[in-house]
Amino acid sequence: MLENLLAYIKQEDVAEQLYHSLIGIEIEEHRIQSDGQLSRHPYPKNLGSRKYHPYLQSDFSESMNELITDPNPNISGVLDQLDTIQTVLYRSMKDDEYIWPLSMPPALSQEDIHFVATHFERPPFQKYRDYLTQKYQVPLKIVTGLHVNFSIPEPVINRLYTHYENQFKTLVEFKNALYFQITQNFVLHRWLLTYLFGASPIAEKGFFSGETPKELKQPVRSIRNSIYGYVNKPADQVNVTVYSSLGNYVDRISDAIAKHRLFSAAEFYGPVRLRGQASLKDYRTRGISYLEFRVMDNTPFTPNGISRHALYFLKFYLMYLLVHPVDISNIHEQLKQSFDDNNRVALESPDQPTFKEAEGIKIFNELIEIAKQLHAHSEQLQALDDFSEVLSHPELTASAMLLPKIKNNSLMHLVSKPPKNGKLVVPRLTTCCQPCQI
Amino acid sequence: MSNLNSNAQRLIFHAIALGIRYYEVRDEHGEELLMLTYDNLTQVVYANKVNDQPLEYLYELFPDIKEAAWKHW
Repeated sequence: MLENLLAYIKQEDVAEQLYHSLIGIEIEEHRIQSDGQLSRHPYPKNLGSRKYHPYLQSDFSESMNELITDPNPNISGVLDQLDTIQTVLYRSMKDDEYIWPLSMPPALSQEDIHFVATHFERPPFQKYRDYLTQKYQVPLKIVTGLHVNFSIPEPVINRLYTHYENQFKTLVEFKNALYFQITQNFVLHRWLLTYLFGASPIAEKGFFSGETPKELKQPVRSIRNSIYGYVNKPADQVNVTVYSSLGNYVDRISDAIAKHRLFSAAEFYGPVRLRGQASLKDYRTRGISYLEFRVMDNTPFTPNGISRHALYFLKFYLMYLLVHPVDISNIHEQLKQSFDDNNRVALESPDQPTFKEAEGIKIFNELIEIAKQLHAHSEQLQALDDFSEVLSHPELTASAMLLPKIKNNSLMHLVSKPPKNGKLVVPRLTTCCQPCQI
Repeated sequence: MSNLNSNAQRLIFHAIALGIRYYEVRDEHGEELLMLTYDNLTQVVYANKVNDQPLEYLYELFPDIKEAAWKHW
């Protein structure tokens, strides 16, 4: 349906505008206390009300802060703002509080779990919160992550539409096709980001109520991106095949809500969410406004949970996903296979080559070819070059760089040396070498 | 942000803490402006005119926020 998109991007000379697609970041992170336990202090009183706050919210637990940037065409602008919001959060915290740098929560005692379950100061969300607690239990709901929001500039969509008016009756249909192509490609190639950015190798004590699954007896790339992480239950019937078409996405999630398998669209934990409409059915008629990518683990090597380098890579990668054709002839099977492949990569040993390495090399070759054709900037080329290196050097992945820091299957000792002024993030681990800059 | 004087930077920190949206923009002469938005009210101020009492200044610009900001849910 979207044939020759790359050619039309070149013909219309809109690559530069695409490089300025809007990016926004949401990152969840826990306040902890000096001993490493989840903070018992209430939500900071000197921050404005969560009823309306555009930048600072909380999630499942009162200790689980959420930082939200505005959408911004420039990566520097996004990171500057995230940095400023982080600073405001640090300044609002108590002297004995720090930020836990990892996606998997710190060690949990039964008292911690009971404390989280019984302390919640947002009455309008209490019913939903009780439902989640009962369905998923506390530990799974306090896994944190980083979400990236992405939208294509409207003038670019308008320009490209002139080449597809015969195929799409309306601009909305065309826009949906663009966004859904990115969505499907993102899901089909999810394993690559799990490999590059997975940073949740172990579960601390107390995360699993019973015995630890046998696949997790050794460190892995990303528990959070595996079947043991943030996924919907099979009984909810919203598995990866919801992405087989826009109609299917809307219908399946709507059906799950109508039949009370999901509380609301907010309980859909797929790797990508369509965004911009309050009601799911409106995506068909009013269109997708932006996409929310939900697979990035918090990277402990940078103060903001994601590096500048990673964002340059990600933004160009999304352009690749935009122009890469999707074969929809057997999309159901492809999606199921991609889910299995991603899970397998997530559960691989972090310092070993991935079984998908050959496919990854092919993707990076295509990325670099497109970068040349679209006269990508030096920062983008450098990011592509460096991350292609990571593909063939698993020891440079974030999860592998955490391995030497693991002691007795735990990373809790990271909090043993708190910063002097007591109001900065737990010192992130130093990067082992360049060019990783994960 | 780093281009701004210390009073303007402090104003942004207070604005973020209170939950006031802010945007850095420039006028036709290249002067730095801060566009501040809360509850459908937008105020635009010159960054170099922010005084050394930025929190009080924000309360003047947005009289309703003092009460609203501390209702926590």
